[in-house]
Amino acid sequence: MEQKPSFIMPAITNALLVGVGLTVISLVITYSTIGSEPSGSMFGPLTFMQFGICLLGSIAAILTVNGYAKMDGVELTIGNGAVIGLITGLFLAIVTTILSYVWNNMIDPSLMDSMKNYMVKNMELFFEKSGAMSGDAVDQVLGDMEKGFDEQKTMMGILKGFGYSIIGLGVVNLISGMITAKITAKD
Amino acid sequence: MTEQYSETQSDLEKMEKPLLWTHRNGFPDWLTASIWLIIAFIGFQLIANVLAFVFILAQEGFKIDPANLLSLISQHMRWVFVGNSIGQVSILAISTWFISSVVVRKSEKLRFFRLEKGIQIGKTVGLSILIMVAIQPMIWLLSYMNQLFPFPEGYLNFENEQMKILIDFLTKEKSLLFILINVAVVPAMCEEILFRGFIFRLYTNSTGWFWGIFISGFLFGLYHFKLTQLIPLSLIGMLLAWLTYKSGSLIPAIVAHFVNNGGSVVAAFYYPEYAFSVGTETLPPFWISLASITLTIGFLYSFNLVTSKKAVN
Repeated sequence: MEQKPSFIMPAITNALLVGVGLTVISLVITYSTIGSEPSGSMFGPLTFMQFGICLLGSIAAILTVNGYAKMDGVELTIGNGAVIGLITGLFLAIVTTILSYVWNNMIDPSLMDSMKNYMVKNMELFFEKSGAMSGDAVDQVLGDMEKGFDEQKTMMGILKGFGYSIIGLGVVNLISGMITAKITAKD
Repeated sequence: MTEQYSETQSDLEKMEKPLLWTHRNGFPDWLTASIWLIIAFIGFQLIANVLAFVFILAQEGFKIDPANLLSLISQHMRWVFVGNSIGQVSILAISTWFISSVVVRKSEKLRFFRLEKGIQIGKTVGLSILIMVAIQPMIWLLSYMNQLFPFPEGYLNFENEQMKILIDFLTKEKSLLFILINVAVVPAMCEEILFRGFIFRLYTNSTGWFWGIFISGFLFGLYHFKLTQLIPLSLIGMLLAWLTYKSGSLIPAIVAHFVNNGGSVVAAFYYPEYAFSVGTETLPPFWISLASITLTIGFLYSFNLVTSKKAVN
């Protein structure tokens, strides 16, 4: 029986490429945001960044499935596309988590604190403008927010982030892998 | 491997091989199971929470102060339980039954979900009850060990808040039957249909029975979204999958699940403070742990003998 070629190496390569790209984009957005003055708006670039990064991550599966479909002896179904997309998404989650860990702990350990300070200031401004909550309630929200940022630095926080990345990037890439397989099969 | 009765590959081969949508399109069974688990989890959370909110809103005459939402939830816990049960029945049981059409023909569904009597049903049900009772101190021990993991303070506070609301409800609620139906009967049936009927079956098709038990059990632990209980819950999930695999029927697992949840409910109903401190603050006495391990192994061995091919023949 003829054996199908493996998609693991292309998946790892594309996850690395896209992972580096996503990390660079998120760092550019983060540094440019924390370098500016807080606007006091509930929704800013940082709010949408995770969502946007997740959507952009779907490129990894598109590249992998497209490349795999061009290999000799491959008959692609949308089920294969879903599996390839999911595996690529998992590799991508590993790559982005490692890169973010390296950046936040070895290259610029002050980044998380700068982000925390920016977000807290921004929320303070937001509450000041809206005036919807009492002083105690605002302190409670800001305290929780600071705690949340501090927890992201712990091992549990990193694992939690990794878990969310697996789900987010896994699902998005599964879907984009299926769609790519469907389009490629038509072609 | 010991001789045993189980639905082996040859049994599955006897089933008409369906060329249904997922198989035609190359979806492996493990992926179908994983996708449905995520959809079912989200769907269940949505239905349960939205219904609970609507019920509470109706109770308050459609006027609520968002700042008092937590205390309102605590006041109307009965409706939270009702919403939860409707979510379980509609998504985990009924929707899973319908969605299984993508992997099995209608005529084969009862067999696919193992909703048949299986073998030695009286003995397997009796032994599964004994196993579940005997294993409780071990679960207590594992609970205690699970708590030693350094969870972040924020997460522990979140779980403690939930626990407080639950204790408060159990001390105020007068109807044990209401709690039993919502915490023991409904989850025992619905979660078994989803996890042992659907997820375990599909993972076993893809990875074999050993990994099928391991993965479906671990997913069962994760699904409860209670990280401080992940190890004992996963172990219970694996045990229930093994009971289903060996007996060829979902019934022993449903009964065992009911005994596990029902026992906790009865204990918590009469001794709420004590029941919730078990496993979190104290270790079980050594002799109880020893007796639990010995009895559990003994009952598991008996279950294995009862469901073995020799016994069946």
